[in-house]
Amino acid sequence: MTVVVGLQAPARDAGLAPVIASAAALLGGWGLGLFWVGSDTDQGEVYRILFVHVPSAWAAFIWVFAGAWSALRVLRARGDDAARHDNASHASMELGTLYAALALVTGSIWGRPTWGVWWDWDPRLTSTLVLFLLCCGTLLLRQFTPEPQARRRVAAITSLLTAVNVPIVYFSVNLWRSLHQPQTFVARKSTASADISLVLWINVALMLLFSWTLYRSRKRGIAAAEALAAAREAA
Amino acid sequence: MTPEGFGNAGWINYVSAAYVVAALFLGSYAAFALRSFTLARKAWDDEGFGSEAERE
Repeated sequence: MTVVVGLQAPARDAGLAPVIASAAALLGGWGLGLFWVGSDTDQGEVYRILFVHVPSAWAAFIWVFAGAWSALRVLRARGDDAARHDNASHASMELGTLYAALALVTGSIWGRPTWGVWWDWDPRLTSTLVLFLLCCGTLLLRQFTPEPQARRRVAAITSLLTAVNVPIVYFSVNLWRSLHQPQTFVARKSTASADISLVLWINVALMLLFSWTLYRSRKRGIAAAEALAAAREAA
Repeated sequence: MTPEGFGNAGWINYVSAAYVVAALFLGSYAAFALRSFTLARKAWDDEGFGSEAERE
């Protein structure tokens, strides 16, 4: 065995069991949305896309914010701490990208039967697309910056810039005239019925739980790949 | 309003498409996350790297 002094070996377990358990719980939540809750007065059955679209959008917002929070810590930390926060920011921004893409695609599928179009250059849709492209840009810059310290710095700054777009996406339906409906939930006032609200909250919680398990696994994967690269270099 | 819109005809195609796409996106990312860890860990073991922590 080649023992590399000062290097921490990667974790032994990727965290498969929590991913499977939370995926099963999420499927249960989708089942409630598809088969348990009643149809909508205006949209009939097609509104059921809500239970995957809204949790995806919220997950995108939360993971981009989480990525920016870790990015702030990268800029303030040194050495191993900076690497650890950078791994967290990297995994968070990947999830932000994934969920922004999912929100766009499910929104587009919902738009076709309700608005008659797959896409419109509406403020909410356009700002979400910008968020997705900024997330992609952050990941690409990370990929194309080989020097670790420069990579951490560039990724941290672009992650922070990306997070600035999240409030713009959220408030876009209030700030500009939009084809998109206003927020389903605003403080102390919901536009959805009680059972729809309940199932939506359950699905938001389950999607966030599932994404948390993905985050843990991915962060371990990134740390393992970095440990391997460092060990190869030191050996 | 479109023919396949509020009248519900064909709704199941849109709803099922959204859920299938979501399952594919999330499932693919989960597979990628788990596989990237497994490959790195396997290479670490195969190449015989240890660490002070593991030696203890």
